[in-house]
Amino acid sequence: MFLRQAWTIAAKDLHSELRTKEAWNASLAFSVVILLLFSFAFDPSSEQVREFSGGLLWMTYAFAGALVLNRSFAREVQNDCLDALIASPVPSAALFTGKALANFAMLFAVELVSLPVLVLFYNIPWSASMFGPMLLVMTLGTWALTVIGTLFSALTVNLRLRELMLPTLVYPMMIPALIAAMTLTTQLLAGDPIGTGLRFLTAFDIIFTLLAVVFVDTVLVG
Amino acid sequence: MNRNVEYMLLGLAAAWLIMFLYVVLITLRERKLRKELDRVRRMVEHPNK
Amino acid sequence: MREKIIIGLALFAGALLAWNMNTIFTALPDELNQGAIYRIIYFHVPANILGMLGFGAGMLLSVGYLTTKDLRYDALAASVTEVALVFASIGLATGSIWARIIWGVWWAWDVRLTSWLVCWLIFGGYLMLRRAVEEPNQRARFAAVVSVLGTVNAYISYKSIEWWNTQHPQPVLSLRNGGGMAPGMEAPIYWNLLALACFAAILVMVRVRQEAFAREIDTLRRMVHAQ
Repeated sequence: MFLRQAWTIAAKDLHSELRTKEAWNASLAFSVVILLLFSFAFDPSSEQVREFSGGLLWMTYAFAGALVLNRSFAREVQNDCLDALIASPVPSAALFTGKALANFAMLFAVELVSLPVLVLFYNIPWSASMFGPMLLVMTLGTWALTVIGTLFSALTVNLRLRELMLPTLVYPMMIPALIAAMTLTTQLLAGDPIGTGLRFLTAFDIIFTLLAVVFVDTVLVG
Repeated sequence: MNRNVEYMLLGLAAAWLIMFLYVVLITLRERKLRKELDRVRRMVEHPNK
Repeated sequence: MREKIIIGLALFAGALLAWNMNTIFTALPDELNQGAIYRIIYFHVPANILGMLGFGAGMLLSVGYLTTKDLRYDALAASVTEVALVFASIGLATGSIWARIIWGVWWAWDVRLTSWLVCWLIFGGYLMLRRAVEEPNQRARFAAVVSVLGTVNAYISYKSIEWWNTQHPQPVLSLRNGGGMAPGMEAPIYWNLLALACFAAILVMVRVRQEAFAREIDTLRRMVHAQ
């Protein structure tokens, strides 16, 4: 029942997004532009660039993701849709999970397209064996960004200074996960073995998902 | 060694400076709050409408 | 009564601090490898301990608000968190100055420092959020959520020197690992901790009363508007 409700919400968000493709276009364009600009700023073929390839990728994901996450609850404010959703029999946790799933899908899609851009422009030697672990790191990292971003999107939705408060609150909270993802990605792309970051990222995801699901009702309703 | 002592004093100074700034901030806020409280109290006692 | 407590605490803390500073500067020798700069530890460690304890206490008080809906918990949580943020700032600043001498750099991106800076940013955001929300109950709710999430980061920072290889020194206090410091050198840390804790208590008391003023102003304003 819970899953069906969450799935309905997720499907609604994704349908709405597919129709306009606003966030998708903005997010993807932003991501590609950042990667492009950085390739002009630094010589992409030099060895040192390999060292921050992971950092660059996840910075791009975080900023492009913010475009998606920001709109997540904000788009419901028009026509009192948010009030309707809260008043409906759908529990807040299901509402949150649905939105988080939709956001995750959108973010992941943008990331999947941006990754080849990075590999191409920065001449990263890519081997097929990297694909699996890379997907795993992307999944875990993106879920962390999504969970935090969606929760705070709900929190800031009615604030006057939403545009300011959302990044201020969200980015510091994301930093541990971002750093772990960045380190793992750099290790992967360089062909080194992965460190303990995977364990940390998994624990981070679990803890923050639990906290978000517990608190979303407090945030939305009271 | 000399540089060490210099920086140690700098460190202690930094700690106390931050503390001092916060105390100043708190004091200013206290004054502002008291003024506002008195103003609102007076408004309650003498409603001028 | 309250005034007396504050003055008493202030005098006690002041005297303790003066006595302790005397010990630190006259009775203790310079550390073998570090020279004079190591004495910063007597402010750096207590300040960070108070910061972390403060954030943790803020989290517990926030949960207290969420369960009881009593705004006084929120007022106390905000006060404790704000004072903790000040002490965290002192910790960051003193650590940075120490690092300039010992490591040669003002800052290093190791886990302990980064996670503590992140904590500082999160709880700075906590204070900003409080100013952005007008309605007291909504403000308390949102602040409570941020406080709980932020304390997870504080815990990460606390454990960071155990979980990872860090540039930041390993635990030296005998409470944590059996003791790595010379006998006379450890005690002044605790005395300073006590003195600073007294100052922290005073600041929290003043701050809590300011929150009470703000609540009263809010109530009276509503009365005036209702008339």
